[in-house]
Amino acid sequence: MIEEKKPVIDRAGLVHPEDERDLSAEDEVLISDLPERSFARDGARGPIAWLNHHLTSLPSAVVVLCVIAALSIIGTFVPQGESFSAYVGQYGEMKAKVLTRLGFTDIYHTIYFNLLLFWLGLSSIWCSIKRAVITWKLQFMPRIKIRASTIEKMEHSHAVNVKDEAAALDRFEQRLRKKGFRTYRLEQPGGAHNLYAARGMRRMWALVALHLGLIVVLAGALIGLIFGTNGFIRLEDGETKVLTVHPGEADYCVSVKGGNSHAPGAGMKQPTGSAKPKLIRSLVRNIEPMVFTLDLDQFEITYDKLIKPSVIAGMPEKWIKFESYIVHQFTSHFKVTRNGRSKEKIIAVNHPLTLDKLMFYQSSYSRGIELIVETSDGDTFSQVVDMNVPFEVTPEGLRSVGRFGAATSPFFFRIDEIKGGPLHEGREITGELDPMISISIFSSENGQMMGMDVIKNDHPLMLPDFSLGIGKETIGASVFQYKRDPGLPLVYLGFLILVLGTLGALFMHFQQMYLCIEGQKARLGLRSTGIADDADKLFVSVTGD
Amino acid sequence: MSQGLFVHAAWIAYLVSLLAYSINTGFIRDEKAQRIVGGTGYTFLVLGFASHTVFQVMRMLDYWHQYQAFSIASASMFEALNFFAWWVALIYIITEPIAKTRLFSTFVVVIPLVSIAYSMFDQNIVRGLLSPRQLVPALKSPWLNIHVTTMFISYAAFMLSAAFAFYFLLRHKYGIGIKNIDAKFSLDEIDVLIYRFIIYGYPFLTFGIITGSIWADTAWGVYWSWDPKETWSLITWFVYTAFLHSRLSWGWKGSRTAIFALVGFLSVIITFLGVNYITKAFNIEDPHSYM
Repeated sequence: MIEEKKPVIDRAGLVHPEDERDLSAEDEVLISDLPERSFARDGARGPIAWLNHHLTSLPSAVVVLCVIAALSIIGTFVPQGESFSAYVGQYGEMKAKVLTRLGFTDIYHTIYFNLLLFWLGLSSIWCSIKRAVITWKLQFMPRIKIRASTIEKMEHSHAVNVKDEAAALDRFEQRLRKKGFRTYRLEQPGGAHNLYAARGMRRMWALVALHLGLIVVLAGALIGLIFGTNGFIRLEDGETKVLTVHPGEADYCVSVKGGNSHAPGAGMKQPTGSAKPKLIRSLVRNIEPMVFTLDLDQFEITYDKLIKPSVIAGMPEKWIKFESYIVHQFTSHFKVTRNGRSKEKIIAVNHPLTLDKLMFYQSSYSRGIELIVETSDGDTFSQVVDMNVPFEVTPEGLRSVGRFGAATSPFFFRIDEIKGGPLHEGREITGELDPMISISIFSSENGQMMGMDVIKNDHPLMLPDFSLGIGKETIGASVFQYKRDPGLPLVYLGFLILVLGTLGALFMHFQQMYLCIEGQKARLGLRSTGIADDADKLFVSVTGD
Repeated sequence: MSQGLFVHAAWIAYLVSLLAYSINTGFIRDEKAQRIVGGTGYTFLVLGFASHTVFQVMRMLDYWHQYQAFSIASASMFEALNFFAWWVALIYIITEPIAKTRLFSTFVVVIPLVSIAYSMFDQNIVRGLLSPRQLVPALKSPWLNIHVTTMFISYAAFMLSAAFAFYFLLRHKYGIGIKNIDAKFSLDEIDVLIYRFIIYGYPFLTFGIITGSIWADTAWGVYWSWDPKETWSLITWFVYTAFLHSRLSWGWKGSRTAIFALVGFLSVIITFLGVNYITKAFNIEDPHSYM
């Protein structure tokens, strides 16, 4: 029956190295009294001993895990990586300062968080090495010597009388071998016979693999952190950019054709990624930068028409129609060239392109449309406006307003969504969706939303002083993420080892049978780890009693 | 026929099953009567599951017709909750005859019942009930089916372990027991059930997190981005890893591991549902969020 008592070695538990040591040692040790601490030698002093103790101590590992978990939780409550002004807006200046100083606004990149991860990694490596050594010894150099009184104190033990010691030992050994045990015999000077048998060593190796998998994942992540690079790059239709990437320095690109290459400031370096800390920069400073030429031939957003659109009661027809069309995919006809070698592909979400281990992902897009204003005086003017950019309509034209306070007109607008492009039916493109936009109208006085509407070619937004219509063409720019991560194969290998190790460690079982024959009394003890629980049956089948 | 009808039918069947199971566990002593009433509970559980399966299939066919691709119904909170409830029911239908846990059924069947009720509660979710959710490009991937299925199997297994843990604590800590259960199950046996469901759930959780990472790398170009859902799934993994270490290395048993199992399940609930509210309440971007 379960009672609250001091921990005992579970029959489903792991075999501890300490247990092995103590079980096969001369001294009498109650199994329930076995130390549950670290591998460190008792009585050792000094920083090395302290480090050795805590790196291999399970309670220390659990404490580190708990601290990592607690810090991670903070990161899920505080928005990460935003500007200081955004935090001031959300929390007020005082709280924003405190959060920033503590590193809670970018907690996963703080030194203390990464030191904890480093500690966990180091602890895993240290424990795994020791575990591997112990498993090796268990496999190839098991200790056989054990006293009957120690066996008697095991959770599963059994005693039988034997007439002929040697014959009984042979019989037991034969039966154990038939059951898949590897057996080892030892005759002690005093005349006692020991037999040690073990099966299911695969479980012990699975445990080693499990921890090794975790180390391999962390090693891959570390390699990626040091030697990897990533960033974002924006290309317009027909634009060519030269991208220079380096694992340590900030990546940058230069527009050389199309896009904004004729605009003021074109031809200048535009940052696409940020530099790494000094330590990493010094490690990778001798690596040559890689230069890629990127061509975006065409960026396209394709649409699906929902067979069963979600409809809320009272929803106007134009909104039902607007909501019925959803993005099927956004794709970029993309070409990458490096050192005379080119690769061309239609990149889409979930379908990246790779050249020289630099991967390009379809990340997002920006989109604009020509807005046509017709005033009540009959004047007409037009301008291209991007999605999510607040603007106002003035007699001089359309003017971007950063915040509502900057607007001079009574209201300002924002295009929330632009739709229009090739239309899918199943996997085929079957038609073209005419452009349409959803637009929000805000009060310039307090920034409150006053309403929303849908504008189509033939349905402009009618206001007292002017109407707002749209042109037939949409203008798009594709945003790519690029990444080079030399640690990725290791991470995936680690994942594989971790999964196999977990399955092996949880669903295979390891059993050790200890036998000591003294005089005409044979004592058998069984240690099982894993979910095996057939001790009594096993005793009967081995002894025949 | 309306898909909603099958969800409602499943809910009613689960309710009848819960009532039958509750009567069986709480009031019936005669074994023959227990077989009949408990059998009725099981039959309605299977019927509810069958109706729920029809809904799942119809919804998958919707996705098939819309996108010409196989996709499990898990793209909205409504679908996710129903998918979770469906897995709980399936796993329990399979394990009940094997583990002979019929007397615990009340603690289990209440979960799909509450999940479905909750799934139909929210206005946004009512919209979801009417039609399949649009799949954004990132969700159009075979990894969706693999990742979500493995995660939900683990959630279901952890939920079952938490149900046993809950009863364990009631009985062991507070002396509140149910005669029928106490007569047939010792605390040791309940403890083993808690442990077993966790070791069945743990590899699925591990595999689910890994498949999620691989998918994220393909879709977003980064296999780990510390977004709230990922972070909470890692915390859940930490909790169950600590559970296994405490059990296997320290030999923890009994109420301590039962509390661990409940803490683990609390973490599952936050990962599955709570994150959506946290991100909404604290204005945090989360590509995983259902709302």
